[in-house]
Amino acid sequence: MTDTIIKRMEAAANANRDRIAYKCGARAITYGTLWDEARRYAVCLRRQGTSPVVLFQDKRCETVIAMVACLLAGRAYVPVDVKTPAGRVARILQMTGAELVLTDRPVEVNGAMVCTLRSLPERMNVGGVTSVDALCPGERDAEPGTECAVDIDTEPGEDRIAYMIFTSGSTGEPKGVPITAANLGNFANWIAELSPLCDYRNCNVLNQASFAFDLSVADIYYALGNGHTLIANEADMRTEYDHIFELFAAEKINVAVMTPTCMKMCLLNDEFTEEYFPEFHCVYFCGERLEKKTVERLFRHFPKLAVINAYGPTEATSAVSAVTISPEMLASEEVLPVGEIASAATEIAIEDGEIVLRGASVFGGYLGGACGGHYTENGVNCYRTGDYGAIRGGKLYCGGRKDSQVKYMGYRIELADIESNLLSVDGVSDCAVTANRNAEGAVSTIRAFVTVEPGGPDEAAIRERLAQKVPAYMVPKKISVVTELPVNSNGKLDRKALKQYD
Amino acid sequence: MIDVRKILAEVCEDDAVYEEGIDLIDSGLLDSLAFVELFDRLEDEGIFLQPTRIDRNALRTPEGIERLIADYEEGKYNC
Repeated sequence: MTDTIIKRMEAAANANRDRIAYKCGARAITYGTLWDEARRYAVCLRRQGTSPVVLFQDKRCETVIAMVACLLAGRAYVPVDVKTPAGRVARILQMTGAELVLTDRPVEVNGAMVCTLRSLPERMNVGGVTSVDALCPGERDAEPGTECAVDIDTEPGEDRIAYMIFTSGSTGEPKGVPITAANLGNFANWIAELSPLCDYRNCNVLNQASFAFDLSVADIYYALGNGHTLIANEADMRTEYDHIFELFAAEKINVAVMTPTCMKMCLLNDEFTEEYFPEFHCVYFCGERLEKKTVERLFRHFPKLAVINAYGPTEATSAVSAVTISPEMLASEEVLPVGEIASAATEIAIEDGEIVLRGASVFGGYLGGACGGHYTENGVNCYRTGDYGAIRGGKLYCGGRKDSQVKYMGYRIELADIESNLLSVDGVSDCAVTANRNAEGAVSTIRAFVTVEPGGPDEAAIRERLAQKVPAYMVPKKISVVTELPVNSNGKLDRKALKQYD
Repeated sequence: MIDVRKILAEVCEDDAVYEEGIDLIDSGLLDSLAFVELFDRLEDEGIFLQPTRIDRNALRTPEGIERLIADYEEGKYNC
């Protein structure tokens, strides 16, 4: 199947109008309402402008309507986590040139319209029209599939940007990754055909991650592109440990899209077993390294569970490869594979030990032309991932980074990003940020070592000021003010010697 | 009797856990990764606790966790 993302979602909506498409806490929306509302608001969005639209709000139903409306209107949506510090939000707004911010929070921005989706028609005040129904007459009672009175059925081009996700950048600036409608359509078709996800009907699909984290692209478009119900997790997984477990129990989750770290939290409960959760059929992991220990424990709790381990960078639309981990694989493999080459969403090769991607999933370069691994070859987008990898027996294996990028609780972080922001704190003269790893190689803690000028800030003050610049997950767990940073005989920072401060 | 502080210092990777009354959650010391690691380590010591059945405030301070473990070892905790 080679549906465009809009055709796929429209077909799912029309075939499941009365089914719940999205549920967040006590609030839910059916496919029929989601699609009808998105069509109407798409009219507003088209009239309001053409720039990207920043979505700076919680996982409410309106957020999902806004995403679909943006797709229909041909405007890129830019999901920004509500916990992002104001300074970083302002920078993202500036970089995207967004003329519209959909939010229910105060946002300081020059030149852009700031409002909720619901209040957009009133704010636009097009010819005195202040309601979305008036902007799109006749739509409220329209039959499914009826042509809209406005030109919303003219599907925008496939090379338009569907969404932009901002990741940590090594220069200290967030890095925008624009994904086209063609990229997204390719991904949605790939995940729809992925076994065993392709066999499921009318499932409850767990969304664990923030919409600003590209893991969520997998659950949003798998669920909404195939008529499933997407169940949102609203909790902060860094502190609200048991919420996901409660969500599994309350919503009878069939398919969970989550990070391994989050699953580890669920597995702390002895009752998280097949006996109590017989409707849990499949888990799709992506976003960080899957440890064998986690899968071993998972199989003890759910012997028949389908465990999918997926791999892919934000730059190649969430994921490009996946493999179902069998008990036999668990016994025979030293490190778990991250995909099967034959069923990959795009061409995968290993060049000088690095995983290189080519083809339909790969983005067309960073926003503003920021440096990175993107290049083209005969007009085809290619991306050097920076991940070391190997292909053995038709399977892809991933093994560490070429640079200082780390995955921490599923979040992708450039240690240099934290260092740049630490150096911008008044009174900080030098710094080094390191990642401690556990026995299986996963990052367990991020540490910062800082030297300060005389009378400079103490650790608490540095932490507070850094938290105003970077998302909370990028603030090191421990910041130590030291007298000097150790250097080796070449005059370079001696990271191993930093252990003396532990 | 296991040394709870030592385990906390290792999973939180910070000796600040030795400070009396320190709030492990507000201070960010006991984040989700450390939390998972803590329960893993307790299991290694033969202590099987169910996080969802524990009052979150009991996990807020090292003293609270020590009391919880002491109760478990005295058979007062039956989760």
